[in-house]
Amino acid sequence: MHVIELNEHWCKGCRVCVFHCPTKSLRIASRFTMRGIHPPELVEAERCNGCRLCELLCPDFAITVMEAVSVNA
Amino acid sequence: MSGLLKLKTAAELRQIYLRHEMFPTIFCDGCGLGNVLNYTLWALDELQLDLDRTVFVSGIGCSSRLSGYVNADGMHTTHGRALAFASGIKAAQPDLNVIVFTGDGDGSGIGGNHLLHTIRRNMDLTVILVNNFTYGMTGGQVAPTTPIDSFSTTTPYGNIEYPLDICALAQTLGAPYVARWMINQPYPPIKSIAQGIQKRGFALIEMLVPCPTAYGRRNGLKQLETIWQWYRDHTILIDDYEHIMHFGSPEERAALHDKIKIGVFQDYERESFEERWATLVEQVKL
Ligand SMILES: Cc1ncc(C[n+]2csc(CCOP(=O)(O)OP(=O)(O)O)c2C)c(N)n1
Ligand code: SF4
Ligand code: SF4
Ligand code: SF4
Ligand SMILES: [Mg+2]
Repeated sequence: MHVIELNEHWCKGCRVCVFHCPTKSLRIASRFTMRGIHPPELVEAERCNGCRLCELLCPDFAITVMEAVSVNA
Repeated sequence: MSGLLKLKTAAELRQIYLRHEMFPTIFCDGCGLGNVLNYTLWALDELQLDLDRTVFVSGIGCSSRLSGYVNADGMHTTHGRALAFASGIKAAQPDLNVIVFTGDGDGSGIGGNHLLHTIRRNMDLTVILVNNFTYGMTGGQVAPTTPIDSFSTTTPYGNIEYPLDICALAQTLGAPYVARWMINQPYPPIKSIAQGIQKRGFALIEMLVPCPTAYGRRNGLKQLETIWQWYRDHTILIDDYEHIMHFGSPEERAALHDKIKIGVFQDYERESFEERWATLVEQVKL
């Protein structure tokens, strides 16, 4: 399982991460960030394979992919 | 350099290399300039280059804004003159790493003559030249690199001029390292920029970067997904290109006509200006 961390101050909602995701795990959220853009969100956490392509291709250093760690394993 | 890259996370990269007060960048949505910055920083990190011994130099243009985002010393100079300033830095302090960000207009249009002579001298610089087929910052005028028949503010009926192949020029002039990449795949340009930085002498890395605003909008490539896909459809690795040219059918060869070659075109050793200068000083000193 993976999670994404988004820097909402830097993300432009450009969708480059969304349309490059090979597993189609990301989508653009309907909510607004405080900058007034629709940010990406991870909708298919199970399907995300942690390839980090979204992170490597983000032109704005805004998205980071992390392995989800369970606290009560 | 190791074969397998172990890249820091974007969050770690932000923390170490960027001037936070300059963010978010001025670049349009879907502009690929930020990727050039990303890949350069990942290459720096791969080499563990000392930022205090590295200088970023640029001219004028959207692409030339890149130097300002890195938390290292830098010069944002005048249009077309980045290489002259970079040469000066290198001549005065040959032990500094000097990395130049320039555009197709900045580096091959107004600065074309500097490009010629800086390569001829073999200054030990890493030049990352962003080719977005246009003068983006000033709204999309025709550039020396604008593809034939494409539209710009100054070619409203289509461009009748042949575009300049910057890498072919650099190869002819004997640059020790010449490569071109699209930004759609991160690893090849990251490795290549690292190779370019390590190369003594002139290293030119041309990056094909989507500019949806000034170029794409006038050429049916306004949609971000469409313009990013265009680069996948219109580029071919040099090895594949040569293979098809040798062994391909006439149809396969014909299909290459609108493809831009990417890859490493030249990689050899040649004494740099700085080395020859040091030898000369040793010879003539009293
Ligand atoms: C001497 C001079 N002439 C013209 C200009 C106007 N000008 C600013 S940026 C630019 C073109 C930049 O093109 P390029 O280097 O391709 O950068 P891009 O914006 O496309 O990344 C021009 C002509 C200038 N600033 N200085
Ligand atoms: S995370 Fe990056 S690539 Fe994704 S929408 Fe935001 S700025 Fe664009
Ligand atoms: S890590 Fe890979 S699979 Fe997961 S969201 Fe990013 S691009 Fe998609
Ligand atoms: S005008 Fe073009 S090159 Fe300049 S920031 Fe916008 S998309 Fe990028
Ligand atoms: Mg340009």
